[in-house]
Amino acid sequence: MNLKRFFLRSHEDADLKLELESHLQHEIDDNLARGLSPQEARRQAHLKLGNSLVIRDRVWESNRIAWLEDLWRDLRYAMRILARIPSFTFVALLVMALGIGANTAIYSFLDSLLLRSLPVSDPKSLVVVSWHSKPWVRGDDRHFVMQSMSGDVDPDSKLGAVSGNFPYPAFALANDESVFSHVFSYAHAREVRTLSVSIKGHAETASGELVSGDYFNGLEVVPAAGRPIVDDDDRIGAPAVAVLSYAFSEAHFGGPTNAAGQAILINNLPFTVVGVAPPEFFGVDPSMAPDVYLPMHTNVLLGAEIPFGFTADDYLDAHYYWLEIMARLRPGVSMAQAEAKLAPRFAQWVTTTAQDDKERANLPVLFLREGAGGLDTLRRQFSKPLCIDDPGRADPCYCLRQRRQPAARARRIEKKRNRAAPE
Amino acid sequence: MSGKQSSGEMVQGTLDMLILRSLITGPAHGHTIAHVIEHTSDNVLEVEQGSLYPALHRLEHRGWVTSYWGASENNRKAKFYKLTAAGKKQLTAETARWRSLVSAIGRILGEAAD
Repeated sequence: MNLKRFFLRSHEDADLKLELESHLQHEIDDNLARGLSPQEARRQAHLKLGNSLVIRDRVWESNRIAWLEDLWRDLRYAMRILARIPSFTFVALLVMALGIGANTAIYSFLDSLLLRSLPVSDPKSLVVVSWHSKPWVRGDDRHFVMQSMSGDVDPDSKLGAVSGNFPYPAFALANDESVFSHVFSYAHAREVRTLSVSIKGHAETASGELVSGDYFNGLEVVPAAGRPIVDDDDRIGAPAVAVLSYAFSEAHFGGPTNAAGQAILINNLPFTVVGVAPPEFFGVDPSMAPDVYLPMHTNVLLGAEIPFGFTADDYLDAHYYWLEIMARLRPGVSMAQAEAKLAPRFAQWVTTTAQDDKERANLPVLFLREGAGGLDTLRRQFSKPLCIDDPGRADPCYCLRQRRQPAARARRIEKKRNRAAPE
Repeated sequence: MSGKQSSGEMVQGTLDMLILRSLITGPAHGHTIAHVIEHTSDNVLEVEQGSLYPALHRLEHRGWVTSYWGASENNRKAKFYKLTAAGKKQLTAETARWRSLVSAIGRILGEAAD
């Protein structure tokens, strides 16, 4: 309190000190005029005035109280006015609530998108298998080994065009036990994007994801109940099984233990729920958070139900790029080492899929990306336009162009219907 | 001290009103204000400096008085307080309020005495 007075209000206080001294002098003058001796005049004046420091404190205190009183008065006035105009109050409150809500939502969204790692054990050892090629230009009469795709090709300032989608044969190729402890794939394929799940006669809409047999083991995700999807489930003819997300099991079964072992219908096909994913697990892509995980090869079952659906032949198709591949590095193996091992093998294989010299001139080149943040559809879509944490970017206009020119995104091709006519 | 009422015991807000009233005749410094109030009340009211100066600063803060440094009648440096237009209005309102309060209390006490 005293410190504050002397530091913050020193000027005002010095003024008050002079004022009190002046008062004292006038009191002494009065006393002298009444015929008192100078000493007595001083003594009585001091007695009457009291301790000047105490007075200064009281002035400061009362100023502070006055300030509080004013604030209180202003608040009450504001409340009265607001109460008088309820429509304005409502709009003002709504705007504020929306503003605060939107901010919270955006921050938590960016937090999970940019800052948090996948909720799996040792996310740093995960890598995403990707390829890059020359930039894609809209309207260009392309000659490329990829003739159809279910996924995205994104423009990249350094690499040209980048994608994480591969044909199934490339998945087998990536399975190198010398550098990876696990290699697994997943696909957000058309067949599972929107599923009709029937639980005890109740139909629910759910989003699905196809995962390979080593998906849960490779991510080292322990189910909240039951068992994960394993290699044995992921083959043509295996009993149809599914793993549910924790939230989905809670919403429709009252919890993971109730869900495990239940029979359900997915798109009218019988499936058995073998397990439930842990609550914090949202898959490998923060943008997807599927409700249902299905073995990769159930794609054939589900594909048979829809026009131009997936067929067993598509597993052999080297020109249809659809699944995404993730791998876990063996301890002691760096991402560069694994890439050096894999890239030549892929290059060799992909050459054999080229049908002419033009295709051979622009083959996709395999490379690895860090997988700790998850496969990053949303991250690609949002983090670049936002330009977060990339001060070293040479081209300042890059972000803007990225947002305005979704040229490659427009090339998103759906399955064989759109397949380019052979040369 | 009996018979004297110190400013610390005055009805809240009364001192403010008395200060404003004492300034109606013209600007005055703190010592004069205290002196005028004490004298005009025939020394019934005693104005303590510990109440006077906080009150003066409060009135200035609210815009009812302004202050400036000048020379006093003793030719000493003193801070003078001057009534503002808002202060005059406040004084009128306070005086009216006080009068109605006094007459109301008077009526009650008068009835009780009867």
